Amino acid sequence: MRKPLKQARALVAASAAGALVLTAAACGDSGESDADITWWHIQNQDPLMATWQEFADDFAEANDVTFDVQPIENEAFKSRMGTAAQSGDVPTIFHTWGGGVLSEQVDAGLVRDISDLDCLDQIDPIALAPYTIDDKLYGMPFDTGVVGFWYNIDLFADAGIDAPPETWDEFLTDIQALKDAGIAPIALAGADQWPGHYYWTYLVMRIVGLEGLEAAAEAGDFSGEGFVQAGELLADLAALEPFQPGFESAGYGEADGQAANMGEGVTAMELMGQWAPQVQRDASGTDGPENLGFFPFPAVEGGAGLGTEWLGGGNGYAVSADAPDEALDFLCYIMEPDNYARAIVDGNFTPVAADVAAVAPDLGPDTQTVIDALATATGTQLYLDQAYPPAIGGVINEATEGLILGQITAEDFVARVNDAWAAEA
Amino acid sequence: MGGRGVTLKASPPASPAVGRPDADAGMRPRRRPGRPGAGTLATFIVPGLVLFLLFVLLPVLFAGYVAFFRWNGLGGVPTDFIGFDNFRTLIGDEVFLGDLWRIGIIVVLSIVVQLPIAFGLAMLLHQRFPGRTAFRLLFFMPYILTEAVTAVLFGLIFSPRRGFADSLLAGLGIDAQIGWLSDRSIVLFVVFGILTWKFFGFHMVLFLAGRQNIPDELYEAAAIDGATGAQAFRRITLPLMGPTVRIIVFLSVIGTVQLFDLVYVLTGGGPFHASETLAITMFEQGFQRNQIGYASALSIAMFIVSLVFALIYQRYVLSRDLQGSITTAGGVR
Amino acid sequence: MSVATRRARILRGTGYYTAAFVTLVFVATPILFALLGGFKDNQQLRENALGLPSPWNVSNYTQVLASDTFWRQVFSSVFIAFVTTFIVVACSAMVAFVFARFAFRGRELLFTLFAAGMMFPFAVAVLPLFIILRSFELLNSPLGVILPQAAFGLPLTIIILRTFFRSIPGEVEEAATIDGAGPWLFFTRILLPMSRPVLATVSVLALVGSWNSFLLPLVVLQKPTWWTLPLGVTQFSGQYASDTARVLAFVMLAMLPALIFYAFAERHLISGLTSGGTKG
Repeated sequence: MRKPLKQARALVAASAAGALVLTAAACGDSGESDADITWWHIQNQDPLMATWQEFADDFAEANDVTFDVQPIENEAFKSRMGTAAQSGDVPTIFHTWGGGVLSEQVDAGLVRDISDLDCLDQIDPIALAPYTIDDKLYGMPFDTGVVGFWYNIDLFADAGIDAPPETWDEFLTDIQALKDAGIAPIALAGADQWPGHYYWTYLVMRIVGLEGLEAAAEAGDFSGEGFVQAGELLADLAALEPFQPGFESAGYGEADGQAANMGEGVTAMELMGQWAPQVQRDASGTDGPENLGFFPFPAVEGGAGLGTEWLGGGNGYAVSADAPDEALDFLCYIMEPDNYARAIVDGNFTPVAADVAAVAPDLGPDTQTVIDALATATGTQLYLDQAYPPAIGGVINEATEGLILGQITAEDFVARVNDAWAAEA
Repeated sequence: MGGRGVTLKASPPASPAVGRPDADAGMRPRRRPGRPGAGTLATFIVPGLVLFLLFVLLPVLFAGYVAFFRWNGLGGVPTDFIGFDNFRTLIGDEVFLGDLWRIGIIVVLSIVVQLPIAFGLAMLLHQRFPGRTAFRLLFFMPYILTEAVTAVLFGLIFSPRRGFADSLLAGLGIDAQIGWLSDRSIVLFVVFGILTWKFFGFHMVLFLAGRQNIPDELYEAAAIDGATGAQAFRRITLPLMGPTVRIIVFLSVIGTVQLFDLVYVLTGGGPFHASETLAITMFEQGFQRNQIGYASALSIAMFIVSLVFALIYQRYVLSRDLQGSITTAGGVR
Repeated sequence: MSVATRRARILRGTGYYTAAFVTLVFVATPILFALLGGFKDNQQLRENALGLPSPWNVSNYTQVLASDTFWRQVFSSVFIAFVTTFIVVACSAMVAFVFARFAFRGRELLFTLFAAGMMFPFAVAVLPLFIILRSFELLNSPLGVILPQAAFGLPLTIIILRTFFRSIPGEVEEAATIDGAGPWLFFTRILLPMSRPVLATVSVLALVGSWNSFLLPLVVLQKPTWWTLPLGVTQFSGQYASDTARVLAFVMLAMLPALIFYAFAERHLISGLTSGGTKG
């Protein structure tokens, strides 16, 4: 009994003394990073993580500024960025997907207008659209692309499928064929919710068309029949149990998650954006499936949508309202042809350069696939969870999870989204 | 906050010190030269009071205010007054009602499963046998581990396909594909299992302390009267452990209402709310969807749930025990 | 002693140990999994989940121990815990002193106000706290974590300390007063030294509470400069999601300080946690 008591006493005394000294030291230090430029990015895997750090180091040395570079995992980034925006103190440079989330940050006066960025002429103007709000530019894209099905050609062949499906019915037939062959057809990160919302969005786009979706968003009313039908089709798909075991609690990039399942060649396909092949390799620690193919989201019979309308978007950087000019210079430093060419390779980006051939003469086959798809696009829709304000995007993500898990109906889905629009108005 | 606790009755006459010979020493007003003036007293109280007002009372009052607004929290102050709308939405919100339901399930499971186990182990460790101190130390160990760290560990243990739990079952010859965290119908029970792992040792220690407070003379007297061990247990141990049991149940409920760290890190409340708690709903609404007004209404609801429970419990269950201001600490469930 | 009673005693002893060992397995398995898993590589984790590591692989542990991030988070956790403890114990002791040993108008009201603070679950306050800290510009600062933690620790600490202070006989104070000691002198020279055991107990409680705190740092500290270990562990497990063995090593190392502390301060921790809880 005596001994621990003595220890604890000493501890208390030490704590009191230590606290005094340390408090004195801490006062005046608000905990802010002392760096001139803090940079939050989501490229938290090498080689690109190291490349970004190197760019920052080189730029810092040449321009006599200091950097605090923070690679943050995607989900954690969204969570922290949300809190940071509410704190009114955002990093100098931060990742953005544009759209409604960026727009809300702009309305709160957190983001700097970069319409006069020096290197804009090097960027394909089409790629700027998601970051343009009221004719002003608030983000610089460095990657762009589309969402489609990435599939394991060998597993499809094992199930006797030699061509990817073009219609929803064929798609369902193929799902059944894969299941019959003992292959989990689709990898899905149920816990992250956003990968699921691609399915609902694409079904809506195929049924009511891009114009129909845009009109509904404009009016804040998703009551149209096509929206309910999209939910019903997704529920039909989920009823086939096409997803890998345990998908309900799976994340996208984690061990045993959606991308890892693809990378290890365990599941046959995933609906995902241009970054998919890279993350498949990173998350599984493998070289990914030997034969990876890509096909657009299938058409729905009788739907108004076109196969050349894509769900897509890219990755970009925004800068805080109080950012120094060096932050803008740094964005252009990334876009310098030599640097950007290296980033494209290390990050497996789909380039946004005005002259792609100049920065990236030979792209990997996966990237070329995405570029070809973009080239044929007659229209694109930004991911809904970024395009709309967070409250609505959040409801869509959540409702998709409920629908896939059979917890809500297609009608509930639409009602929830309409309620969210109404509350936002 | 792991170090917090609960008081059931805070009014000063209920202090344990009352009734002791020296208890009045500090209470007697002193009117004699050298009695400190108001200024001196104030210097003692002010630092604590300011801290308390700024960081405890003000936030709670502020939550009560913001709950009547629609506000995305981005800068400025709330302006869009909407009366009781947030609360109206709340009572129709399936997630909120589900949170209450899940709290109920965890509380009932704690009472029927976890507390009897803790009680049994306390009785066991009250016996004298070599090694019992070591067992007590080890059983209590999970309680001191950080909830968030525990959650990361169990997330890996229950991960699908190559998780340790599956390997363990396979090692025992059971080849079952169990969706520990992915099956909506069992995830809450897995969470409960982890809570049991973490908290039974704490409850055991409380029970043990309660048992050690029962004087041995009672048992000796009973033995002289010819009572068997079982009779002594039923007539002496159980009734005299009553107050401890009631306190532990109380702490379990209050702790469950506030449950956040472990579940948020482990499942994020999913799949589709199957393991969600009040605090997670509040966090998601407030910080992920920027609905600060609605989330504040949730905070207030959480407070009211705790308060109403505490009042009812104190009135009908604890009233007979209250000779003292009963305090204990720990983020306990 | 008859054969029958001896046999009963052996049986009972066997029963005790069986129950105790079953519980021990239940408690220890997850922790052993983390400890041993940290010594495996990912392939071993997959193919030899249950066995001992072979070969033992220390690189996961050494990598974590060699990283600045880990040590910075240890420092932040320790710093925040100690400053919180100092503030909460100092403020509480002064307030409890007045409550325990002086009568004045409004005392009961003030005391009830503090005690009522225990009814506010921390989660209730975190959202408005965030907004208040924002207007004080305390976000991303260790003080943004320390001050609210200390404030929420006040009620319990005050109640425990007040009870103890009241139990110190009035004669002690009278003697001091006759010797010419004012309240400050009495408080610092006599009362506090006499209260060492209870001060140790409340300090241990405050330290543990701060060490385990997650929600408040999660909300307040968006920038990693001051991240505490609980935040660090969750971030690390996202960052190295595909490297399970390394995450296990980090988890184990993050648990270690608490385990060591527990070994030394176990008695105070338990006496603090049970103080009053079983008085009925």
